[in-house]
Amino acid sequence: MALDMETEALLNLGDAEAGPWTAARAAALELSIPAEALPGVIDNIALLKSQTALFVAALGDRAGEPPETFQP
Amino acid sequence: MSFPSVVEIAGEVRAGRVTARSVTEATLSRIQRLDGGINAFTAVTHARALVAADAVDADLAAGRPVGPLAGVPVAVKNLFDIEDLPTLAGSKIRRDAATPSRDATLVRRLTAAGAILVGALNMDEFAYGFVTENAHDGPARNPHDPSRIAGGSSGGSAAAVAAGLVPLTLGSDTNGSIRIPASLCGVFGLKPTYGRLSRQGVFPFVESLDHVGPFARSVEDLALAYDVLQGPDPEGDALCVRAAEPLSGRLEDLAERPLRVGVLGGWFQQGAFPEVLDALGRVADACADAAPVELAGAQAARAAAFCLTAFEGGELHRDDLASRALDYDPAVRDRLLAGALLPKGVHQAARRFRTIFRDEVREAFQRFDILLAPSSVCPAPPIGQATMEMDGVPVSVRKNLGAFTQPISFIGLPVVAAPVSRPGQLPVGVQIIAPPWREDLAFAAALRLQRDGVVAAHPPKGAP
Repeated sequence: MALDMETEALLNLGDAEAGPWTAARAAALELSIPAEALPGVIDNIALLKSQTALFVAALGDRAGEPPETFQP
Repeated sequence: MSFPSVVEIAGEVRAGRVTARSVTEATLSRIQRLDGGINAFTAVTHARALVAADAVDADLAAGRPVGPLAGVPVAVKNLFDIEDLPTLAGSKIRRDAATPSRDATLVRRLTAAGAILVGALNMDEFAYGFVTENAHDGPARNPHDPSRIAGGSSGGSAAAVAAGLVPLTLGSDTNGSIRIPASLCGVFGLKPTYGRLSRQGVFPFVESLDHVGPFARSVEDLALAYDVLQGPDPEGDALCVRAAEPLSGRLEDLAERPLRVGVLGGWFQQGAFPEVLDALGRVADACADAAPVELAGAQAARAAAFCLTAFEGGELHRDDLASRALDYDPAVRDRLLAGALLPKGVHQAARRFRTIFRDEVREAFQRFDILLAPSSVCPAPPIGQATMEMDGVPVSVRKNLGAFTQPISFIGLPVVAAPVSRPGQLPVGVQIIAPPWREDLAFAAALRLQRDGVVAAHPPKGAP
């Protein structure tokens, strides 16, 4: 099962694309990001993208499956 | 008494050899004298504590029963509701929030057992960090070396116990926030099974991952507190329905039984500092027939926990980020803002991976009763140090101290965080990890290691 388009777009970002993606995503969600916060937010988006890639790769074909209810 | 234990204080008070008031006054005096150098406390509930102590003494004088924590001074991370005190959760934003009309469930359970609440404790803002370098309240300092961090996010909770200001505190653990500061400050901490202890009246961070638990200086003290805190909470969230399974009276027997011990390698040792690996090796050597084990999904589990945290944290804070972003600690703000931008599909995939990794670990527990892993990557770094090296790569301290704790809390397993005995050196801890709802196994292993002198909470050098 495939991932949703928004997650695919995040995972496909190139190194220079995190900034424009962040600005576009914030605008789409109507969330204003203060100028002084923008560099830090972009750094964090790049980190979250790389972390997402790790567990999506581990999920393989199951990446788009709905989650099961969690019990320890 | 110097660095008295919970068991000693309660025993002395119940026997009438000391009064709860005298213990409380001595505690308040010690906090006043010493906390300036530690910065563990953000509020001291002086008047309330003396009233509560007098009530315990009055009960004893009248022959009325008192609880197992009679006269024991306690303090809680400042995300627990305390009646008439703002629940800061380490933030500036909540300084003008309405004060709660009553204590959180776990605070009420402690005080119903006779404990004396003496204050609220420092933490990372909104529990998002492993350092307790709080932008608003200042850093919590490590009692073993005040130039170093106490760890976080429950840094004040660990530092207060390590400095001997109080023998028992409460903290919270979403990704390692009990286990990391327990390790760096050299005290014991319990992160129970997800859903074991009530989160009612606790300011949330990540609903899917938030746990709460105690800190203490011995396994016995931690177990006594755990017994008082357990049990279903009809006023709490739907998770907390498990009947209490008290350890008191059976811990000694449990510690005598053989345990099959697995030592987590792979991800759980990558980038660890030499003294951390040495400490883990000493604990493993003390366990008969400990065998190595690897969890193939650990790195991905850590990554999923990282993203799930950012997403749910961002969602929780969405409105305040939109209206008051500049009132946040910048290091926390930028992480929350990034999380608020994540697509929902990231959260869904992280949750999907959660049950897959849980099942992998369940298989490991077919072969082992407990698993061992380091708690933190390194001993306490200096305050202000932004990066550290893991396997030769510079990484953020704030984001990576919990690399070994995050996969475990991701699947809600119970852990006793135990300080490896290293008197005179910076503390290093291990995670004693048990299957879900089997805190008793982790306690049993911790008690045995404590008896053998392998784990111990030592007072800081030259502690008054």
